[in-house]
Amino acid sequence: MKKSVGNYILEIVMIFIAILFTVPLWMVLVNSVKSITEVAEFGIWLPKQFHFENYVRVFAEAKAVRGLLNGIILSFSTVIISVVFASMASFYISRSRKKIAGILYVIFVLGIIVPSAVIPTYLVLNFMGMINTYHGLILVNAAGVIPFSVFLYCGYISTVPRGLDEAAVIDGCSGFHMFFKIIFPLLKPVTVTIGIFNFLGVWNDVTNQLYFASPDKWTMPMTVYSFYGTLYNEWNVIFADIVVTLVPLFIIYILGQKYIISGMTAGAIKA
Amino acid sequence: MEDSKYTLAFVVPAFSIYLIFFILPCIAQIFVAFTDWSLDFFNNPQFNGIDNFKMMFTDPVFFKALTNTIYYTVVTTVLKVSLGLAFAVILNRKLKFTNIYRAIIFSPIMVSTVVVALIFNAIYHPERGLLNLFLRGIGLGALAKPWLLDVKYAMNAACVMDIWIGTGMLMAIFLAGIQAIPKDYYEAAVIDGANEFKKFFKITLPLIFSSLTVNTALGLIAGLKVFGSIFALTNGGPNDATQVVGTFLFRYFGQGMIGYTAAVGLVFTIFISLVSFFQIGWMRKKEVEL
Repeated sequence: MKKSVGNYILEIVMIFIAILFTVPLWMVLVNSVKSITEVAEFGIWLPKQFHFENYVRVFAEAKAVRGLLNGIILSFSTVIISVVFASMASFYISRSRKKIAGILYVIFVLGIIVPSAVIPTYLVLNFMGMINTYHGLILVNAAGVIPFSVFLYCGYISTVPRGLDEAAVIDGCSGFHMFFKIIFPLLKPVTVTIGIFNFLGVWNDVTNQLYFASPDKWTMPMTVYSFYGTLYNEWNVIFADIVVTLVPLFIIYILGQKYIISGMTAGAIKA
Repeated sequence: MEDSKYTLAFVVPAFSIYLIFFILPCIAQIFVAFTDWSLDFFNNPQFNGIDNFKMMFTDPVFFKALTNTIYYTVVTTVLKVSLGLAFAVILNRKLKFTNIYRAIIFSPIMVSTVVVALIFNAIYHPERGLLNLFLRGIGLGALAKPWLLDVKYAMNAACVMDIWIGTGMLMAIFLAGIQAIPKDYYEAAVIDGANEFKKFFKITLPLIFSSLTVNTALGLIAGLKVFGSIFALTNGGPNDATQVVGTFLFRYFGQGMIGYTAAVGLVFTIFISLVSFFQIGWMRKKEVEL
């Protein structure tokens, strides 16, 4: 009996907290369909009339489509590179019994803690003629996400039995062939997690885009920021632009929630 | 040879990218920090000894940025870890909407920090903002403040934003730790007459100490490295009240001072690394003692 009363109190507390966490996004949503006069105050009540033309203006003026395409190019390329290369590297690191494997693991994992040296990275990119290029951004993003990807892959590969490697080799598979044919498909759960993570990391990245690229290469969230700079007081249109950038994230969250939370916590627990 | 099917060729692609675009810049930073390299005289950098470091340690804005960063890191880490743990303990119970609460609290981590900063710009807006609107609405108009324009409140306003962003992630990690604890530990404790508090301090906390270590590390690293959210919220203002090392670096980079920013970056890299290693080492030792 006592326990159920406690649960009622906790239920009320959590409803209050959930509202507190939802209000900012609700505010964005309702104000995105208000008129310019109504948006003089960012209240949370529904507007008298819905002004969907704010959204038309976002697509006409805000470079939202450009941001979407940039985001797709940058995110997908980084995800493919990091998933393929990090899984290969992790396979060697967790299977080989040579000393170098342990050293490589430490070098990769140090990259999770040590911050990247942004200004010298600019110099490296500049030296290679890669400032404000897609491939420059992709490579820097990949270098940034590889440490955590290797960390998660190594943890997962250590649970895949070695016997599978032996069997594949007896069947006449070479090293790479064996890896991509037999091992890589078994890593699917962690690959999905790493893929979503790295996708979000690039999609939401601020530092690399701000330092190494100009607005024509920016992803959607950054285009909202530059749009905000161009129309200071038309908050209804800014809110509409924010909603547009949140839609892809919302879809990913609904589809991938299981992988996002399980993968992240798995990595953190193993650490 | 047992290892013949595992060749170093597997590591070469990932390591090359990591070497050129991460390790090389880190090493280059050590050298660039001792030069007068600037965008204005790009092709003629000269070593200038410890001039950059002298400049840094006599620069009041640098000290402001450093103390602000430490304040921000401590406040956000303490609050995110305690709130994350509290939510995890509560949401480990069977409430009516447990899964919805979890999903809602976790969701802000998905949103880009610059977008979150724009949303909080709107919430904190002096005349139009939701926060002041709410305060006036419930008759507490006297408490309505220009949150981001007043040096007294801007930093704490930024901390609140970060707590909104990051608490859910720490909650999820704590929750996974709690769910891994075998149920019979609690059943045994109940038979021995333990109450909820005893159960938390004697069973839950010791057994999720590794999650506590990880979450503290995540909080510290995220706090020390903070850039995007503060950049878009206040860009260090008003009057450097929210200037953190991340925004400080970007400002001097914008002025073309490559050597100086590299020096600041180098000092800060060493600082973050030392803090992380000491924190993780110290808490790992505690874990063993428990």
